[in-house]
Amino acid sequence: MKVFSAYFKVLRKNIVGIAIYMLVFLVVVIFSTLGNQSDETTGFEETKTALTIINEDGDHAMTAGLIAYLQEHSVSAEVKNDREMIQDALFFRVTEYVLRIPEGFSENFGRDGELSLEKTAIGQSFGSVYVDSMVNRYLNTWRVYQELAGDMAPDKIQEYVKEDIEKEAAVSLGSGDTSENHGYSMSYYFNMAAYSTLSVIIIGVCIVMGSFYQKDLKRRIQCSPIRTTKMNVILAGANLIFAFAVFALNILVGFVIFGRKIFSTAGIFMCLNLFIFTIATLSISMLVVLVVKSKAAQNAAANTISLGMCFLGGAFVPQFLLGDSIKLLASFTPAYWYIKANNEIDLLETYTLDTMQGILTCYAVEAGFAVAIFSLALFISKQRAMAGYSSQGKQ
Amino acid sequence: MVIKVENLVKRYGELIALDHFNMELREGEILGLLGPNGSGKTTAINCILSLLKYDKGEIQVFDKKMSPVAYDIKQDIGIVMQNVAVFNELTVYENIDYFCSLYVPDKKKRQEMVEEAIAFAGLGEFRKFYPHKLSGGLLRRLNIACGIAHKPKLVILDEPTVAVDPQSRNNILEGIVKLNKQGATILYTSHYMEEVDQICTRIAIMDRGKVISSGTNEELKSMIGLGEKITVDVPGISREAVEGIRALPNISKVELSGNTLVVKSKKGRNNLGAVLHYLEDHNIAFGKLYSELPTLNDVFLEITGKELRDNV
Ligand SMILES: Nc1ncnc2c1ncn2[C@@H]1O[C@H](COP(=O)(O)OP(=O)(O)O)[C@@H](O)[C@H]1O
Ligand SMILES: [Mg+2]
Repeated sequence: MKVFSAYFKVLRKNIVGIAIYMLVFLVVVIFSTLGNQSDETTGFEETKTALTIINEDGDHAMTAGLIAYLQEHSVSAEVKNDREMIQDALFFRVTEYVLRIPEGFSENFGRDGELSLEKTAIGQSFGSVYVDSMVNRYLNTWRVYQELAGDMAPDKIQEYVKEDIEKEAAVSLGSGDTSENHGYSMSYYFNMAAYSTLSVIIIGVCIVMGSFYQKDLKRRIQCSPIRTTKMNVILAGANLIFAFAVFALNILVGFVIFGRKIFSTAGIFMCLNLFIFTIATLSISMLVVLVVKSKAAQNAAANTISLGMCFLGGAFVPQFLLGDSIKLLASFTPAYWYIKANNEIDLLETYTLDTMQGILTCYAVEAGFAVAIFSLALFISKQRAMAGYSSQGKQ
Repeated sequence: MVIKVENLVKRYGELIALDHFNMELREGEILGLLGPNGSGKTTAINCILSLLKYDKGEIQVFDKKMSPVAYDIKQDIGIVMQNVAVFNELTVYENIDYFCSLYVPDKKKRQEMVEEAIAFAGLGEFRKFYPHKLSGGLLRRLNIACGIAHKPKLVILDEPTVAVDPQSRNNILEGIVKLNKQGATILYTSHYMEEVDQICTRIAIMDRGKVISSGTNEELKSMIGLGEKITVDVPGISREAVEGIRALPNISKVELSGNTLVVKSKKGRNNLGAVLHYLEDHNIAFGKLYSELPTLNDVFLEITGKELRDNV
C-alpha cells in the first residue's frame, strides 16, 4: 500500500460523510431546476424530514414565513416543549430535527444582539443537512432584503423573500429575456455547482489530509525514510485527482440535466469556469487543512466557507439583488467571480475577444485567487517546517 | 555503536526535560531505559529520532550524525511509538503494508515481510479488521507490527506494553527477545521494572532527565551493595542466637518480630547458606524460610530515595 493508494482508501472509507454534501446539492438542483418545469415533485415527498418547530418568538412575519416555508418542505412532528420529551422523540425517530426559535429572534435579526436558532438533530443525516440549508437560505435571503431596504415593513420583506425562494429557479439572471438562448437554468445550475464544489472538496480534502496529518501519524511518518517533499507532492497529486473527480461529477450531473446543451459554446465556457473555480477551491482546502486543526472545526469551516461564499457570491440569491456592501465583501472571494462569469456567459450573444473581456477577467481573478491562496498555504507549511521539527514538541 | 548520545539537553520552557542525558547502545543489545513517568524517556527518543529540536548535545546513530534529513539512517530504524499511530481507515493488513511501503517500495518483497510481521504479532485472524475493532492489546501489537515489518537493524520501542492485558504483554516481550535473537538491536523504554528485568541485557535507569545509573541487572544490584533478604520463621530463638547471626560476616541488619527473623545481607555470595549453617550448627529449629534478591526498585530507591512505583 503506497501513499497514493492509502489516500484513496481513506477517502473511500469516508465517502458517506463526503457524499452527503453532493446529495444535498443534487436534491436542491433537482428541486429547483426540474421542479420548475413541472409541478410533479411528489417523488420526493418520501424524503421529507420529520421536523419539529418550537416557536417562542410569537407571530412576527419573519418567523411565520420561516415556519411556513420549512413546513412546506418537511413533515411536521408535534412534540411537547420539554427537554426529555424532545430527547425521547429524537431517540424514537418521531422527529429528526428540532428547531427552537427563541423569543425576540426576529426582533433582533440583523442587529448587534442577533440571537441564534437552536437546533437538535439526529447526527448528521441527510434530512438535517437539508433543513439546515433551507433555514440558511431563508435567513440569508431575508438578510439581503433587510440590507437592501432597511425600512421596508417585515410583511413586505416576507412577501419578497417568499416569492424569491419559491421561484428561485425561475429568476432569470441578468436582465431576463436575453438569456433564453441557453435557457435560464444552465447558469443557475453552474452557479449552484459552486456549493457542491466547495463543500465536497473542502470536506474531502480535510478528512483525508486530517488523517495523514494526525499528530501521532505525522510523527510516525517523519521517522521513515520517505522525503517530506515527496510525500507532499504525492498527496497534492492525489488531492488534484480527487478535485478533478468532483469536477467531472458536477459536469456529469449537468450533462444529465441539460444533455448536449452543456457542450454548446456557453456550456463549454461555463465548464472551463467551473474547472478554474475547482482549482481555486482546492487551494482553499489546503489552507483550511493547515490552519484549522480539529476535525470538528474543519467541518464547521467547510460548511461556513461553502455556504457563506455561495450566499455572498450570489449562487442562491441573484447577484443583482445583493447590496453593495455585500458585493464588495463578496468580491474578495473566488465564488463571486465564478458566478459573475457564469452570469455574463449567459448573457453573451457573440463570442469575440471584445465581448469576452469581462469573462476573461473573471477567469483571471479566480486563477489569481488560486495561486495566491496556494502560495499562502505553501508559505505557512514552509514556515512550520523551518520552525523545526516542532521545538515545542507538541505531545 | 548503534546509538550514542552525549550531553543531551532539552528544555520545554522552564522545564528541563533532559539534563545532560548520556546513552550508548551497542550492537546486539536490548537496552532498557527504565524510569518513572515524566523522567524524559519519550523526550529522549524523540530527540534521537530528530522529531524534536534540542538545546544541546550530540546524537549519533550507526556512527553517523542524526538529523531530520538523514534518510539513510531512518531506513534502518524501526519505531514503535508510545501512542499508537495507525490509520483508522485501513485494515490491519493495509496498515502494516502502508508503513512497510515507506521503507520497502518493492511490492513482492513487501508482501512477504507483511505476512511475517502479521505472524510475528499473532494478528493472523485479524488481518481484515479495522483498528477500532481491536482490543487495546491487539492494537499495540498492530503498532509493533507496523514498526518492525521492514526488518530494521535498530528497533526503538517506547512503552509498548502500557495498558495491555498480561497475555498480550508476554506475547510482546517474547517477541522483542525474538527480534533481538534475529539480529536487531533494541532500545526499550518502560516504567515497569519487571519487564526490563526480564528481557534487557543492559539497563539504564533514568530520573529527572538523566541516566543515574547503568549496567547489567547484576551490576546495578551489586553496585548499591545490597545482597539477599532472608526471612525465616524461628519460634523460640534465643537472644544470643540472634546476636550470633548478626555477628556473621556480610550481614548488615537483623530484625526479630514475633517468630519471624528478617536478615538483610550485603552483597556477596551464599549469605543464605551461612545463616542456614548457623541455625543447624546451633540446633535452632526453624520453619518456613525464603530469600529474596534485591530488585531494580531497591536500586532506584537506594539512588534517588524514592520508589519507582510511587511515580507510576
Ligand atoms: N510538549 C511538552 N511541553 C512541555 N513539557 C513537556 C512536553 N512533553 C513532555 N514534557 C515534560 O517533559 C518531561 C518528560 O516527559 P516525557 O519525555 O514524556 O517522560 P516519559 O516518557 O519518561 O514519561 C515531563 O515532565 C513532561 O511533563
Ligand atoms: Mg513516555
